[in-house]
Amino acid sequence: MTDPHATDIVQFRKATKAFAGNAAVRDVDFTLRQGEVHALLGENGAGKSTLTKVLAGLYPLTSGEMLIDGKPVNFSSPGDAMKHGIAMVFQETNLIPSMNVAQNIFLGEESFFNRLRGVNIKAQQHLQRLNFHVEPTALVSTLGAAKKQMVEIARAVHHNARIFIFDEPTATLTPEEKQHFFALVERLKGEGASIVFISHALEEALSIADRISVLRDGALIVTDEARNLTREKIVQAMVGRQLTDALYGDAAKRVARAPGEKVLALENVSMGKAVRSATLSVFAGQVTGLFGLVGAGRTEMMKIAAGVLKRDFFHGGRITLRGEVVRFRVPRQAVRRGVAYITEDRKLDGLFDTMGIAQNVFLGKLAKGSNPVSVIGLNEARRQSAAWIETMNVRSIGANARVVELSGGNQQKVVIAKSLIQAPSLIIFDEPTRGVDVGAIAEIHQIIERLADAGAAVVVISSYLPEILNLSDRILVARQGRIVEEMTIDEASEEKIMYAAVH
Amino acid sequence: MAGLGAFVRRLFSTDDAGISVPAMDGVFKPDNRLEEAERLVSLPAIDNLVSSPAGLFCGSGNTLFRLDLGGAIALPVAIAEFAAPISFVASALDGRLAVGIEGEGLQTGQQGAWKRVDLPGDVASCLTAGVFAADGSLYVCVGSRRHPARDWKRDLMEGGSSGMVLAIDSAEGSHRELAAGLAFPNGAVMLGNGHLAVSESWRHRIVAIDPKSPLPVAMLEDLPAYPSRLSPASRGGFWMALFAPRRQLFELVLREDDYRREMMATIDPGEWIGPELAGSARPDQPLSQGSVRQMGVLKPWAPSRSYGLVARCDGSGLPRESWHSRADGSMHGITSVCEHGGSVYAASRGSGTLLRLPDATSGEARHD
Repeated sequence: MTDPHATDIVQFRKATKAFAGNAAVRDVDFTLRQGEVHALLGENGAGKSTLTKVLAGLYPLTSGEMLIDGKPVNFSSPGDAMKHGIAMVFQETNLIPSMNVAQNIFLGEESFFNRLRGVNIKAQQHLQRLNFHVEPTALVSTLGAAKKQMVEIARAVHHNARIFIFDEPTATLTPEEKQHFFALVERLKGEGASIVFISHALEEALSIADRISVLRDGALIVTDEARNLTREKIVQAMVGRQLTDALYGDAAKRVARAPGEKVLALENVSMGKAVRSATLSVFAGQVTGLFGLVGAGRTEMMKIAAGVLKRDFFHGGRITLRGEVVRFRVPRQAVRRGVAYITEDRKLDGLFDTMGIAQNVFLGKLAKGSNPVSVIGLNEARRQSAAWIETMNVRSIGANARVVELSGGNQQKVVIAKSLIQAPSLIIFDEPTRGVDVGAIAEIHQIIERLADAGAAVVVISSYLPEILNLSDRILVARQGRIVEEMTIDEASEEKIMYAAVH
Repeated sequence: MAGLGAFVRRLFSTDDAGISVPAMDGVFKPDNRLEEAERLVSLPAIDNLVSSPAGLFCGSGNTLFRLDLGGAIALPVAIAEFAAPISFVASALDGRLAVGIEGEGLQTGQQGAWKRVDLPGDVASCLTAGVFAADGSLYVCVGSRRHPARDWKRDLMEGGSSGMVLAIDSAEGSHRELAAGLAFPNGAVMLGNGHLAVSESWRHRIVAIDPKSPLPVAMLEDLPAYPSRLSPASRGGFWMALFAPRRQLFELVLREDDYRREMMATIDPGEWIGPELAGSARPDQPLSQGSVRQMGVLKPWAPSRSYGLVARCDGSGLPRESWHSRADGSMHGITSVCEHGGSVYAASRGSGTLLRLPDATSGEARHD
């Protein structure tokens, strides 16, 4: 346990980081003590990564100040942060896989003439001092995730790092590798290093952290000694927002829609390590909410159903659409069978942003068209697009306005219109209100409700619990590539859903 | 050559990419309500509950019982004894009963006045269910023409589809075939439109049969368990008893023809891997090791061979609500469910218990 009066080597005072006017981190007062393991917890989008990226020199602060060893600093690059002994270890390590361990550790310090044996011996000595059991001559591509992290840490220590930031370090590790990692953290701490540890796994944070901070919606909610916190208290702090927000209404008063026919069923569907034996059903006339933390495989599950990704060929499970077994090779086959997947990344996958609104909307219709040589009347295309633009209440200077000029909310409405023009019967919304203004959120929610009322099967993937609770008639929780819990709206609460998602 | 063709199909078909069974989710989300249901009577071979103006009847072994539910405790009163086990009971609005006797055929009538209806030998041995229409005509399900009712597991393992539905004219003692080629029809109920809903156990589905047309139309497919008897629900639609769960292991055995043939040829039927009406604590069951029982505790989500499941379906055949007894429970092998006098009763053949379902008729259902 750390001494509460130990030196604060990092201090954030009223730290705020805004992106295009939206504060990802707001007025955060955060401290990191010498020789402590400090866990940062919070939902997706709570601001954990942003805060640590500021510390690692990836982003400058918008306002507020950051002090290292009591002196204000303003890093202009990660190199600046490194000079102050701050190293960030990402989930995906920054090692060069085709080089060996020793070469990676001494990357950037090569002499004009290098003696490999000398480099290897130096690396071996360095690794032994850290008590890391990694062969310096091994190719990095042959190492497991935990060993790669060790190499990255060895490199950071070699550069005299004394503050380590781990972003979701255990997400990709096997149980055995996790044990290696925890031992490693203990050793670093024993050598006087300070560690910031971002995780979704509460048990891990409670077991290895000295102090825990919980962020919510960019604000620091609580910082306390780990021994004073329990799993329940942390979950409460992570999700304990007031549900009085008019936008999300009172979920407790809602009555679930009755399920209709089973439209989609995934049975033991697997795809690599992202989806592992996922089993779920989606019914007509209902909104099925799919919650999970990042990496839970929920987007992948639905992308498999929509033909965007393909399940494993062997032992990949079974997908049925209205009782018929399907395995779509391309999304077009799914579109023609009435499946619409509305992407979470509209800029990358959802729109042609330099084309007009009407053109974008009508592209959806073309994707569904079955005759490749059919002639499409321009007037008909305009008429259909205009009807959808009006239905979706897309606000712009005209139907030919370029999508790139629209606000996030209106862009999202165009993406939705592009799918709804196909008259789908199964609609999958992936993070439908991400990066969307408050007014458009309400409109998008209304569209989703109307679709379910009209008898369509609707799936809403969301990381935002109030949205899931407010929209869903039944809630599925995904974790580690499979569905781990199903809840009716009567029994669901933010705490229960979060509990299922992290355990 | 045929074997090679099957191998190639299995390799490239989208259907056979793995063995999976439908999830018990949505309306079939497991609960413990069947396990917690009131246990009224213990009758070792209780089967086929049927509601009649004269009371609630059930068969148990060779005996037909009327269940006296008026007193503080429920009492079974024996009203008739037959030469062989009763395979089904049906009741008409006028109080007439029809009783299927294994190997003996069909008897109709009332207490003390039974009349035998002659049926061909291959049909008479496996009468699994029956229902009277409003006009008094009787429809009877023949599970299999190859095996008697008690040998249902053999019919499943042989991929039986010799079942049929007969329309019986009990006055004249004649019968006509309504539908054939069914995979163990095991329950029937009249629908509001005059059609007949029939459960096809081995195809895990409910089909609708128009008495004027021989072609069954699927109403509800890909059930997560083997459906059994059906009975009318007062809120419209019907009740459905499901006697055993579908499991990946069973589906594997049913797919692996050589393995199954060898199992049937060399192993006692009681030991075959397949659905069961009751759980077994015997350690020689392969599933007892590891996946079902750990440190002496039975996991409720374990893939047990038996399960207790009752569902209420609406008029279009969509399931609306379900009651469960999971792997760690004992109210398994529900072969019949019936509404009588404002309550809903279920027969757990696996445990030999008559159950009264909680929350079955009062208030609104969870998904309505």
